[in-house]
This record gives sequence, C-alpha cells and structure tokens, in this order.
Amino acid sequence: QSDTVQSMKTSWINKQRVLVFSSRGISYLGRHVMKNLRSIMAHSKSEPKAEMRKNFSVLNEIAELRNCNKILFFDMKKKRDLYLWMASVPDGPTVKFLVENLHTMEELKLTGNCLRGSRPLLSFDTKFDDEPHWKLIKEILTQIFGTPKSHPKSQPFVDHVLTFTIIDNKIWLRNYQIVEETGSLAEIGPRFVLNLHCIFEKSFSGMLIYENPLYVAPNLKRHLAKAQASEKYQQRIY
Amino acid sequence: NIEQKPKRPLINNKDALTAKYAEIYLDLPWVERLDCTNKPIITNEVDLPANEDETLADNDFKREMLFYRQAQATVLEAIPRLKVEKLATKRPDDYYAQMAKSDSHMKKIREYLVNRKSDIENRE
Repeated sequence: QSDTVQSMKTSWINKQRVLVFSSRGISYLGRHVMKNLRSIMAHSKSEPKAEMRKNFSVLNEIAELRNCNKILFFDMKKKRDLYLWMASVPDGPTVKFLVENLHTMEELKLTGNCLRGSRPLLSFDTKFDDEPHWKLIKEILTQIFGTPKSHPKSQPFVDHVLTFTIIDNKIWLRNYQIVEETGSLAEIGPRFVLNLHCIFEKSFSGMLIYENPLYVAPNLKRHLAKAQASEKYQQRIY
Repeated sequence: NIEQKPKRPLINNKDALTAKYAEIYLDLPWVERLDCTNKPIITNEVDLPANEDETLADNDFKREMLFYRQAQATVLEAIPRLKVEKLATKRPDDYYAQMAKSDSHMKKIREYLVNRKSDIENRE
C-alpha cells in the first residue's frame, strides 16, 4: 500500500547535514531561493550571513562548528551575479556554479505543493553518466539534496521529484509534486539553472581539477554585449 | 598593441575526478539515496525533442516538456521500487503536517488561476 505510514523508529544511517547559508550582500531573490531550499531539505541547517570577501576557508570551520558535512553557500557579486558553492567537508570536493534564471517557490503560476521536509526522488539526466565531472557532480547533488531516510525532522513520505537535466552544458533544476502514481505531476518550485564554473579537490581549497571551457564570466558577457552594441555606430557608413 | 600572454590551457583532470568520485561515493542501499537516472519517457501524443537540439534551451515549452517527461519516467520507475521497500508516497487524509507552501499561498494561487480564466473569458 502506498499510504501506510512507516515507523520513524527505523534506523537513521545516512547522516548528511547540509549547511545552507550565504555571504552578505545577497539580493532578495537569492535569499528567497535559499529559504525555499531550506524548507524542502529537512536535513539542512541555517547560519547567519557571513561577511567574507576573499578567504572562504573559514567556511570549513563554520561547518564543523555546526556539525555539518555538506555546505551550500550562496555568494553574490556586484549585487547581480549569484554564485553557488557546493562543498563536501572536510575532504572536498568543492564545486562552484553560477546561478542563472532564478525563480522562487512563491511564484503564483506553480500549482504543486508537498509536505515540508518530505523526501524527494532525485531524477538525473542520462548525460550525467557520460563524463567524470558530471558523474562527480551527480554524486554531490545526490548527497546534498537527498533527504536521509528516517531523519528526525523529515516526513515518512516520498511525495516530490527533484529533476536535474543537462541542457546547453548547464544543469536545470525543477521540483515536481507527485499528484498521481501514474505519473501526473505538478511543479512546486524553486527553479534555477546552474552553470558549472570549476571544481576544486578539497573543500574551499586544494588544486583545481576541472574548469568548464564553455563558461563565460558574467562580467565578460556584459562587456561583450556592450562592445557589440557599440559596433553599430562604428560601422555606420555615411 | 600589447602582446597578449598565451592562455593557460583549461584543466580537466579526469583521473583526479574519478578518484574523487570513488572517494566520496556513498555506498548505501537505494532506499537511502533515492536517485534515478532516466531518459525522458516518450509518448505518442507529443513528439519529444531530442536533448541535443540546440534550440532547446531557448524554447520554453519544449524544454519544460522534457523536464516533465524525465520526472515522469523517474516516478514510473521508482514507485514500484518504493512499494517493495514499503515507503509511502501518499499521506493519509487525516495526516496533517506543515506543507512547503502555506495554505494562504495556495489560496492565492487558486484565486489567481480563477481570475486569469475569467479574464480570458471576459475578453472573448
């Protein structure tokens, strides 16, 4: 039967704890998405905003103090470019993403709903098995977003699906409610796109082991767009 | 003109990546992980766009359809496995707990949908 509630007394083996927090200077959109993530991840912990500009190795100590072994850290530059760091503490790796196309759970067009802290199914695109870096990222995503079985704060139901799809060399995240077991779904949110930048070997330190060749820094992107727009006048023939 | 320095080649250390994967891999039964790797399911109704399609990232409808199909494939694969493991997917009607979205928010969504529908009808 799919609606018999399983006892929560069964053993809790998978002890993942994720620290979800941000640096100072994050915009309202990032803050709301962060709040949404906390509400769907029963195994997350929060922390006040950290003031830091250069040295991220302090984050390891913060995670250790809060007894966490994973970090989701949002960092905003220039109040418009949001970066997401995913790290496994203390031995790494760390993955840095640029977050694009943010949409929060509060948007009105998303009609689904799920229990707070229920466990998600994690759905991955087959492309995640093609390359070693995608495989590594898949494992990190599984460990961070998968709520452990019989976690004290979680609900004993599996009623939503988190999908990760690679399109255009970026990871697209969607969250769906399972309405019917035959496969009818309703989107809950939040939604965002993760553009991979690089992977470090250790947590917030260590050597670089992967760089995305297709990554264009947002600053450069804006610069190129501006240059292109000005060309219109340079090439004008009188 | 200033001479540009040759760029450092991009790093893609496949050995290190594979080693790291092996190091952090969480070797637990599927019930603990709940991960599935699926191709989107294909139905006769809608022609599913190929994932390789370059326009896919810009075509909202096609892209969302792809995500939806992928999630459906996962659900169809996972539900029987969850039943074997005796994990519930539906909560009983008398089970009350806090939801991800509050009731007042869900009410707003319903009102919005109704309003939009009546707006369209009024326009016609």
